[in-house]
Amino acid sequence: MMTPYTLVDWVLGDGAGWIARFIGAVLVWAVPITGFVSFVGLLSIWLERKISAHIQCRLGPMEVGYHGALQTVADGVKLLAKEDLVPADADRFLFAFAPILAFAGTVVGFAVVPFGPGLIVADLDIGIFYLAAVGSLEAIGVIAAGWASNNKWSLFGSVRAATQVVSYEIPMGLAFVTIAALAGTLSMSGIVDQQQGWIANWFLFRNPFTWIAFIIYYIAALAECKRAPFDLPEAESELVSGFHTEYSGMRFAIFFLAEYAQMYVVSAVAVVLFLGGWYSGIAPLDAAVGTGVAGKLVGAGIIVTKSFLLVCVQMWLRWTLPRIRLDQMLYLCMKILMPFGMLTLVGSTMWEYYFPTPEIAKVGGGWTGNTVMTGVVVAIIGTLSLIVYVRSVIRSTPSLRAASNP
Amino acid sequence: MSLGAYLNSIGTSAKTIVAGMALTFRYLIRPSEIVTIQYGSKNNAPKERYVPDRHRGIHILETEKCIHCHICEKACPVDCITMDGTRDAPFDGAWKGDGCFISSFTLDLNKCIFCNLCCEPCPKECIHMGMEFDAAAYTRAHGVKNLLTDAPYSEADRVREAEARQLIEAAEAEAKRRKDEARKAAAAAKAQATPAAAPAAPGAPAAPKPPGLPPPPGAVVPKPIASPTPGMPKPPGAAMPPPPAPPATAGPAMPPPPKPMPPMPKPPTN
Repeated sequence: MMTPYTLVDWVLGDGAGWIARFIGAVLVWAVPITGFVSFVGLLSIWLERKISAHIQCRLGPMEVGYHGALQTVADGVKLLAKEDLVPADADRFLFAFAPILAFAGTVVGFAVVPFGPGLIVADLDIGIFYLAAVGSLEAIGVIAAGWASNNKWSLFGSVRAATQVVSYEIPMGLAFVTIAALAGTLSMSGIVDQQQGWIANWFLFRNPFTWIAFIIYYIAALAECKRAPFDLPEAESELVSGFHTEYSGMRFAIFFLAEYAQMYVVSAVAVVLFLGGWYSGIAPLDAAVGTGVAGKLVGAGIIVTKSFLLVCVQMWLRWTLPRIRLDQMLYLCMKILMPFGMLTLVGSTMWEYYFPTPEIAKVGGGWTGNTVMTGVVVAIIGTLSLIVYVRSVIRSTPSLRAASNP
Repeated sequence: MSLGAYLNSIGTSAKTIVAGMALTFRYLIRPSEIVTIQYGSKNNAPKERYVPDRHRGIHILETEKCIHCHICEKACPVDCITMDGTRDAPFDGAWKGDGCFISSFTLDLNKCIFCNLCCEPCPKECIHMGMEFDAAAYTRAHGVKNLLTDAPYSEADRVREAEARQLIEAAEAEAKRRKDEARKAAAAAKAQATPAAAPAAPGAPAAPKPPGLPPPPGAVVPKPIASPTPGMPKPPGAAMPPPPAPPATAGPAMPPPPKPMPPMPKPPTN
């Protein structure tokens, strides 16, 4: 990109020296990113509580603020005031360092997560590769926490975390490669730029195989966040609290914040790779997104909204599905996701070779033959989902069930 | 595992996950399914929602039906009920029962075991186990409830009851004096009338007296005869003065407003 694409460039211009750029990056990015991570944590924890409560016919927090919106702030104050406990015979340095490592491993992921057109810390040419590399850094912190705690449950949790990492990384990489092969670039903004226009230009709808790639990526992302049904490293019912059994107070809060920040990162990456990034899927609106400050803000609103929707889907999944066993986790990742990931990679590239996306679909929009094929696939999947949904409604409603089986 | 079984297991998993998520989504978007009752909050639900119909909560007294018979007090296995009052005469600040005047009716919730044994023997069915269960109090003294005011027993209640005790004694003494006077007057009148109308004596006023018994010649009135004297109105409902004004010293000792009927427990259906 010749144009100044990142905000630091936009603020400082091209001629700034490296010291100015460093200070500018700290002021323009590091401070707001940390604030944004905290905001994501607060909002996500509140959302998690409310969603879990409503799924279980409860109300959730209702007292602090509007419908308990400030409950997380109150909890944060409580955690700050707690005693800093280190277990006996623990590795004190590693015990204190592990939360920092986990949190840092999450926050460096924000470096390539775009918040809008041009609102990206570092628009690396190897954006996806960088994400795949630092995404597992959090696992190092988790393993260190389990080892340093001098607690067998913690150690079990961290061993599970290590096992989990080696199983989910490969399908996730295959999903990355599928999109990279379609986009021809690893840069995040480069990938988003190719999804401008109508909704059919999103990589999710580019060909039938990217649906599979999206599902594979999302499952692997759940495992990366250690969310249910892959919350094996925490596993409250088996290991007391897994790797953070011995953590309390602010160190526990940092682990917690890292988990929720990671949820946002993987959701934002899913939005960038599959769901059009900061584009809305409506071609006339997309033409305005990204031009001027207002356009940037609209784009930022779109991508943050989409990311939070995916975060909510993660919570919805968590409160629906039970935890799977470790062998089931390995079976899923190694024997199901990996073959399907390879199939997706091959199928997607073959599809792109035989039915190449017309240039007009890439830049402007309009209904193409490829889009029609995508529509057929969407219609099939939508119909199947509708049938399953209607059947579940019929089965769970006694009057309808009686009417359907006389 | 054959390829068919492998694909089939994947299909089954996908189908069941979608079905489960549809189920949870329906609960997520339907706020009417929420069963939480926000106890103690602003948008509180009525107490009847918290408890079943036959819940044994804090007692409710229908004062206007009470006949001050002390049966509940005697039935109580832990002696948590105390009451005071009289059937003889009204006094200032009394709660009017059914033919009686009550000055106190307290229930010590520190002792009460909510056994319902006070409600069962009540001849007028005027004491009930209520729906209220929130008996928390800051001190033991606050745990004593005044069933007449439906409020915690207070120091003012104690003062008022002590005064009422004196009023009751005064009223009873006054009633006794008037009864004696009336009886004396009746006896005197009878003594006057005896020579003239000896056969008429067993008529109206001395019904319980055996008619064949000759009256004693002297002015001595037989004490144990409980004849209905005109000075003592037996049916108090008819000859009752209007409810007396509360004494000036007892601030909160107002005659209670008509209490709403407590929700009566439904009879068991089976």
